[in-house]
Amino acid sequence: MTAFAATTSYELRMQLRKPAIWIATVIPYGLYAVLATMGTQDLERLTQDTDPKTWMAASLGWFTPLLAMVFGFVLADRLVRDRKLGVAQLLDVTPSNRSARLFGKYLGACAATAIPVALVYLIVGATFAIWRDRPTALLWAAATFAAVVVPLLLLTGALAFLGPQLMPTPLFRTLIVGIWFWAGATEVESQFPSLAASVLSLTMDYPLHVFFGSRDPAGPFEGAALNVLRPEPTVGTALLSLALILAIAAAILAAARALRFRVSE
Amino acid sequence: MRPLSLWRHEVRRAGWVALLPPVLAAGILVLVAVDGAVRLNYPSRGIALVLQSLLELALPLAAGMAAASLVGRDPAVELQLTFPTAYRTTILRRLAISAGWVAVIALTSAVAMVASGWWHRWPSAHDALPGQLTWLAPTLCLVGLGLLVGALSASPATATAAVVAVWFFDLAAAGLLQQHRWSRLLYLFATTRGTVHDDWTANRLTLLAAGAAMTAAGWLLLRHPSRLLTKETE
Amino acid sequence: MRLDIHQVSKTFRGKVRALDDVSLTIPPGIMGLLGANGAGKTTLMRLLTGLIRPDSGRITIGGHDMATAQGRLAVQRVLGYLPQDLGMYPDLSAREFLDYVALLKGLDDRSHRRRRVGELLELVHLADVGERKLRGFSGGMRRRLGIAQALLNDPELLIVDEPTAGLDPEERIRFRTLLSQLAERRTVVLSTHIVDDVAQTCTELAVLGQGRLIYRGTVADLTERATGRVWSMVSSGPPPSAGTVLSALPAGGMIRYRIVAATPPSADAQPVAPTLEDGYVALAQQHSLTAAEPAA
Repeated sequence: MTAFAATTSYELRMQLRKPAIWIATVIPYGLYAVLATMGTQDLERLTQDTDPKTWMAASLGWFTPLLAMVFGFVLADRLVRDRKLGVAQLLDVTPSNRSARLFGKYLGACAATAIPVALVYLIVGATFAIWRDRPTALLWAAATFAAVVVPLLLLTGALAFLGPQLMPTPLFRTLIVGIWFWAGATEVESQFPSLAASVLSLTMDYPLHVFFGSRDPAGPFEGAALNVLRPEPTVGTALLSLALILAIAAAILAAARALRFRVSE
Repeated sequence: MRPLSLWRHEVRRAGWVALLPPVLAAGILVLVAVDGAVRLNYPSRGIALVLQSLLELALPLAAGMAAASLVGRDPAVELQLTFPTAYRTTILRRLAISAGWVAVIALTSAVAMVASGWWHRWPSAHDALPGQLTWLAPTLCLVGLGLLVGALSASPATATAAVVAVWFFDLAAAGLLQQHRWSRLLYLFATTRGTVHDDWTANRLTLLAAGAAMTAAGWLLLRHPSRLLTKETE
Repeated sequence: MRLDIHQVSKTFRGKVRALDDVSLTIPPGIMGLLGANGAGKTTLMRLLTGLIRPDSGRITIGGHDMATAQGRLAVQRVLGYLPQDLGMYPDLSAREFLDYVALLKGLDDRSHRRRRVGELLELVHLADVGERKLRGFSGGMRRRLGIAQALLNDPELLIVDEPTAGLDPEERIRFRTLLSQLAERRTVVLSTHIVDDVAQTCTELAVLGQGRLIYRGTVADLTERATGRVWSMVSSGPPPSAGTVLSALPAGGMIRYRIVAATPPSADAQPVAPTLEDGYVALAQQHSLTAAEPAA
């Protein structure tokens, strides 16, 4: 087994054993499910919608990005933990490739965080598939997961690998709340400088709008700051949005790698 | 009353990582408000919302996260558990410091808002005195949640995840939470994100009661902290 | 202060039986507690300090029942504890750390507390580095500071768990001497797997094996158990399979073995005078072959 595969495998196992991942998933989705099934205006709209594509976006697609930050909390200590436990020294003197180990750790941690959310998407997709007799709902669940959840988790994971190397973990956790709040909760109508409805939106507005028919805004807004980041929503700009999120994640991870190995040399 | 020296030591145990975030949050949000008012000419309602958000969103979250970090981070826990000063008393002292600090910042901000006239520019703001429940109720609720989950799990990561998950859920699902009375009563952001006007007082009192109950439950759980011995210090 | 441990058992997570029906009396003075890793020593230490509760049995310390909250509090007021895993606050200086611990132990009077901290820093030879942050302390310095914090409240009961771990030989000797001096007017329980620590400081000891008490008596008696069972032999080949090899030293192209065995391991093996370590090994051999020895 290569160092990359071994690290990915063990990081995945260690993370899945931690209750924090499951708590961070069960609490919000559980509360949402309780409220949604108690009879709400949103539920009425959802029960009338028979298109699995728009249904997945309307039921889960809008909700998950707001929660991606929660996973940043859980992932915040994964890299610095090795140093605290004294394991980093032990592993650094092995002949294994250090970049492969770091990348394996990163993917393992992100995958572990993704698994509980994937289960939620699977359950919701299966429920719709059975209820509406639309098996394609499972495909749309997978597509929503891939387009909305995966890029955000990769970005959050990269931030969680870099941030705690620069500052104490509790401070990083505080900062990530501020970043996500600004990026995810400020409305473009408020005219504050905001990434909302832009190609850098952390609520994945462009992919949701273009690929899944979400009614949330994406595109230029009169009078808003940073309109240069809001081209007309098309397939191209939606793909651009995904690519930019992934590129930023890659750049942050590269910086995390450089810092990690600069410190150990 | 224990000596002041002991409180000074516990302030150091809390550290700047617990004491800085509320100050940062206040600084940033006030800057945003001032910038909006002076340079960008935003409507006063928007600026008032930013200032009220400091009280109802940012500061309670900071307090909740500080409370969630209390249990499971002490490298000297095995020694602490053998001292005649009960460890839960030490935890409570640290909680008083971090939550008290948030209260100081919240009160200072509220006084400044009242004195400058910005308090009443937010339509849902209540009178200055009962209006302090704007920050006090969600603060006590999130502090209680952080302490309870921390005591249950002995894991700051788990406890912080719980606090932040609930905070973010309330933010994301504001519309859903308004549609039933029971969920309106437990809604953290009734002042800034809106609620049925007559429900505000009941909402604040419900949050206070929930916070007190969770804090008491956490306190009771900490009677038997020997589980902490086997936990990895985070 | 006398410690009475009566039929105490402790199981963790329903599976790991750390202590099994242990009964033991510890009189004033210094007593050694020996045992291999995993024998139950740390579990017993934590029971004596009130950190954990037994599943069954009773512990009384100085007449205080450790099953009650009042009893535990009364003992903790007169207890000094040096744990095996000694955690500290790296951002504090040695003086600040002792001051903080003193406050938690109830030493509220400022001048008395300062005086006490100063005395103890002198006692453990850390006065010169009292203002240095703990993150800059070596393992030995941390251990010495650990014993200093245990003595802050002038305890009647001192429990030290693996106190010489990580110390160099000189520090170890200094530590043992200090412990012996401290035992003159208090009860000291020294838990360790290093036989020499017990040999150099204690006349009484108990031995735990797989959670059970397998010996309670004097150091001399345990040493005596190995009489006629300790052998010295020289060989060019591998050690004999019978018995336990305690040492293997090069000797002019050959190897001199010291072996504990019931019968001579070879024809040319010579009997030698036993040490406490030999006695401990002989006891372990007997324990694994026969039922547990009744407490002396």
